[in-house]
Amino acid sequence: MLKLPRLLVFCMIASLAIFAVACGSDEEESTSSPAPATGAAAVAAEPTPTPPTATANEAKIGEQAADLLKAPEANAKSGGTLDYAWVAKPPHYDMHQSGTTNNCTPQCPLFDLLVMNDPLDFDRAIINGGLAESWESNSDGTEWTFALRQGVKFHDGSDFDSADALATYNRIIFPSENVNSRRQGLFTAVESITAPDANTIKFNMSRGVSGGYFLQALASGFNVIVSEDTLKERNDDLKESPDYPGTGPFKYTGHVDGEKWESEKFVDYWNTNLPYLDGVNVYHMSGSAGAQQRVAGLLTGQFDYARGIDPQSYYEWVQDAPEGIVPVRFPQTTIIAMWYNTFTDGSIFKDAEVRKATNMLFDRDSFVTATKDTRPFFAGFGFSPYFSQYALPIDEGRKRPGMAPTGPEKDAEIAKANEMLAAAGIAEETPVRVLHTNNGWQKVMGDITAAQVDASPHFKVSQEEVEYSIWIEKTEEGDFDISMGPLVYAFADPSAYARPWYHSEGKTNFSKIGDDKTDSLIDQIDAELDPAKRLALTQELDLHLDTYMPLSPLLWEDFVDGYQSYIKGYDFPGMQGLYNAERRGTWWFDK
Amino acid sequence: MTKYLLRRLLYSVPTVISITIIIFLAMRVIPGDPLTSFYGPGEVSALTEKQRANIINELGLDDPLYVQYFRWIGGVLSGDLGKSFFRTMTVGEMLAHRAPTSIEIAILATILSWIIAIPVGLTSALYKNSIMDHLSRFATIFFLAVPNFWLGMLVVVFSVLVFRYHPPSWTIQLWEDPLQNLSIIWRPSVIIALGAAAPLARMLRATVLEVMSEDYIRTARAKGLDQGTVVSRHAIRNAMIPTITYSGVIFGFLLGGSIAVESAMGIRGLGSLLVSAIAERDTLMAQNLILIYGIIWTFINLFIDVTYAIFDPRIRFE
Repeated sequence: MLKLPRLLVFCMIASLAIFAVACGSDEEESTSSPAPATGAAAVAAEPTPTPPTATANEAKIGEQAADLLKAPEANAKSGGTLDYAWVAKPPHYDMHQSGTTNNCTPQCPLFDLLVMNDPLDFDRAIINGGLAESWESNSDGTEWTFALRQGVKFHDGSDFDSADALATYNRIIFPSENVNSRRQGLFTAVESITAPDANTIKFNMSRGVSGGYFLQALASGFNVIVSEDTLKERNDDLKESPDYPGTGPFKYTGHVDGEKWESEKFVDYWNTNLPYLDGVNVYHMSGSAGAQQRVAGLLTGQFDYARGIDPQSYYEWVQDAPEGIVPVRFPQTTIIAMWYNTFTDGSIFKDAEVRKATNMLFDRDSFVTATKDTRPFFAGFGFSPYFSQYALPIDEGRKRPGMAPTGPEKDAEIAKANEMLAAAGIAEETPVRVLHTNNGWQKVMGDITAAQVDASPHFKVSQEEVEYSIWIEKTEEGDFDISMGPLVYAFADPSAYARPWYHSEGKTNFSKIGDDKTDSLIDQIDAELDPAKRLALTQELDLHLDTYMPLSPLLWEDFVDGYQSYIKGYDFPGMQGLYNAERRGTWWFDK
Repeated sequence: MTKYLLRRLLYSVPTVISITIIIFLAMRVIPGDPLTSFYGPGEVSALTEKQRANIINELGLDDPLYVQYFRWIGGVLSGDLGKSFFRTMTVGEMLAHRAPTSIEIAILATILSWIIAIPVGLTSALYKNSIMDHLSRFATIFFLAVPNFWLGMLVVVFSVLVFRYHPPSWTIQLWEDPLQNLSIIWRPSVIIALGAAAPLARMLRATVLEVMSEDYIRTARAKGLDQGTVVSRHAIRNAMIPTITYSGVIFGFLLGGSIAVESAMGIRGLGSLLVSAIAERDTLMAQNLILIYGIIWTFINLFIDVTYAIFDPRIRFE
C-alpha cells in the first residue's frame, strides 16, 4: 500500500500539475515516454535495467513455426474482457500515417501484421504469427518472398489475399502524395513489390538487406494489413475512419471520443487458438489526473492493465506491491540527446575537441535523478539503445567520455573538460545558446543542460524554450548552439537509427556532421547479412563516434506499467518499446 | 416586466458578440501549433510543407480571420456548432455527451451548498459568539482556504487506499445507469458544495446580523411577533438577496463545469473538456464552450435580477 507522506506529496505535485495541464502543458500525452534510473543515481533498491550481454547473438532472423501461435500455459482458458487504461486518444485513425502509440494501443489488436515480434519472448525472434506463413530470401538478401496464409478473413467478411498485402505495402513504401507514411524510411532498399500469385508477395531490393533488420521493420506494429477494397472505398484516406476492417484477433465495436475504445473477439479469426479474451476496452485518461486515475483504477480492480503509471507508484510497488498487482518497467524507443551546431560560420562547435569537452560537462546521473519522479530514464552509455543487443556493456559504457557517475569521478571529468576547452582556445564566458523543448520534464532537462554548460567558466549560456514542433523546426534550421530534445526511433536495430542519426546525410543528423568512416560503417551495417559481423560493425561505429561526438547521447527512455497478476500469455518482463506486437491475442485471465 | 426582460435581452446581445470576438481572437494568439497537438510532436515534424499546407487548407485555417469568424458565427446561428478536426464526434454531440454530467453536478452541488450554508449561516448569526458560531466560522474559513480540487484529489486517493473504491472513469449517463451515474457525481458535488457553502454561510451570517439590527425588525418585534416569525418572514427574506445572487453566480459557474475539480477527479464533464480543448488547441471546441459559458452567464444574471423582485417587492422593473 502507498505510504501516506508519499501520497500527500504526490497529491500536491499532481495538484500543481493540473494547472500546467490547464495551461496546455499536456506533455504526458506525448508519444514518447520514459522510465527510470541509472547506476548510482537510481532510486534505492529499484532494479537497474541492464543491457543484454553484447555477444554475437543471432540477430532476429525469424522463426517459422509449424504450429499456430498460442499462449504457452497449458491451462490457458477463454473468457473475460480486458479493461486497459492508457493516456490519450488517437489523433486520427490511419495506422500507416501514425507514429504514436495513442493509435497502436487501441487499434493494434484489430489488425494483423505480415510478421510479428514473438509476444511470448521478445528476445527470441520475429515469428510467423502474422499473415505470412513462411518466408525466404535469396542468398544476397535482394529478394524477400513471403507465402501468405490462406483462409484469412477481414472483419467485414471479405477474404484476404496478396492484393491486400500488396496494396498495404505499396501504401507504406510508395505512398501517394497525400499519405504521410511514417515507416517509409525503413524501407529505402525496397525497389518494388510484386504479387506473383494470390498467396505470395515479393519485395525486390536495390541492395542486400539483412533479415534482422528487414523482418523487424515489417514487424513494426503500425504496418497493419488493410484490404485493397478499403483503401479504394475510402480514397486512400483512413484518418477519419475508426472502423476500417482488419484481420486481427479483435473487431472494432465502437468508441466514445477521448474516453473509451471497445472491441470484441473476432470469432472468425484465422488462428483458431486465439484470442482468449472476449473483448478489449481501452480507456483514455489524460493529464496528471489521468495518471492518478489509471493507478486508482488498477488498485480498485477497475482496470486489468494500466500503461504509463506514475514512477512514484512504480518505485513503491517494486518494494511492496499491493496484492495482485505487478509493476513492470521496460525500455521505450526514445533517445534524449544534445546536438551541436557545427555548420554556422564561426561556431565554436565546429571543433571536435570542443564538442568532446562539452559532452564531458554533462552529468547524466543528475538528469535521471531530477526527473525520476515524473519520468523514468536510463542514462545512456553509448550511441546504441542501452537495452539492445548492439549496445556495449554498461561497465565499458561507464568508462566512456562524459559517462562518469556523479561524484569525484565526474568532478575530475569536468575539470578535464575545462582544460580541453582552454586548450581549444575557448575564451571565458563565450556566449552559447541552448535550445530545448519546454514540456514538463523536457524543460527540467533543458534547465539542467543550461546550468551544467553555464557552470563551465568558458561558457555564458542563454536559454530558449520552445514547444516540440518549433524545436524541430529550429533544430533542423540550425538555429541553436546546443539543442536538447527527444527523438523517437522505430526499433532497436542500427539500420533504423544509425543512418538517420549519424550518417552525414541522415535526416535527423541535426549537427549536420559526419565522416567517411561513419558513412562507410553504416553502409556496411545496412548491407551485412551475417549477424555476428553486423554486431561487430555496429559496436565499431559506436566507439568511433566518440572520436568526433556528432551528438551527445544523454538518456534513454523507459516506461512503467502495472497490471493484475492474473493476466497471462505475454512476455511482460521482456517488453521492448510501445510499437510492436501488442495485439493481445495470447492474453488470457487466470482467474 | 416583459419590456424589462426584452430590454435586458437586447443588452445582452453586444455582450455575447463581444465574447465571441474575444474568444475567437484569444484562441488564435495562444502560442502553440494545432497541428502539433493533433498529430503529436513526432508526427507533425514528419509532415512535408505541402502536407502541412493541405491540412491547414482543409481546416480553413489559412482563410482570413474575418472569414473564419463569420463562418463560425454563421454555423452557430444555424445551429451547427461544427465538427472539430480533433474528434470524430461533432461539437454538438460532444456537448450533448458531456454536459449532462456537469449539469447534474451543478444542480446537486448548488442544492447541497444551500442545505449546508443556510443552517450554518443562520445558526452562526442567531447565536453569535456561541460555540456553534465559532465552530461554523472555523469550518467556513477552512473550506474557503482549502482549494476544492485538492480536497477532491485527497478524496480520490483515500477512497482508493482505504476503501478500495473508485467510481467509473468514463461517462455513464443518468438514464443509462442511475446508480453508477450517482457514484460518479456525488463526490465532486459534495466537494464543490463544501467550497461553495463556506462563503455562502459567511455571507448569510453577515447579512442576517445586519438585517436583525434594522428598524423594521425592531418594529416586527414590537408588534409582538415571535422570534421564529421575525426571522423567517422578515430577516431571512431580506438576507436572501445577496445569497441568491451568489448562488446564481456559483450555479452559472458550475453549469460550465468545474474545471479544477473535474480535472482533479477525472470527471468527464464540460470543464475537463475545455481543459483538453485548450491544451489541444482545439479552437472550435474551445470557442463553442466559452460561448456557451457566456450565454449561460448572461441568462443567469438576468434570472438573478428577476428573482430580486420576488424577495424584495421594492425592486421594480421600471
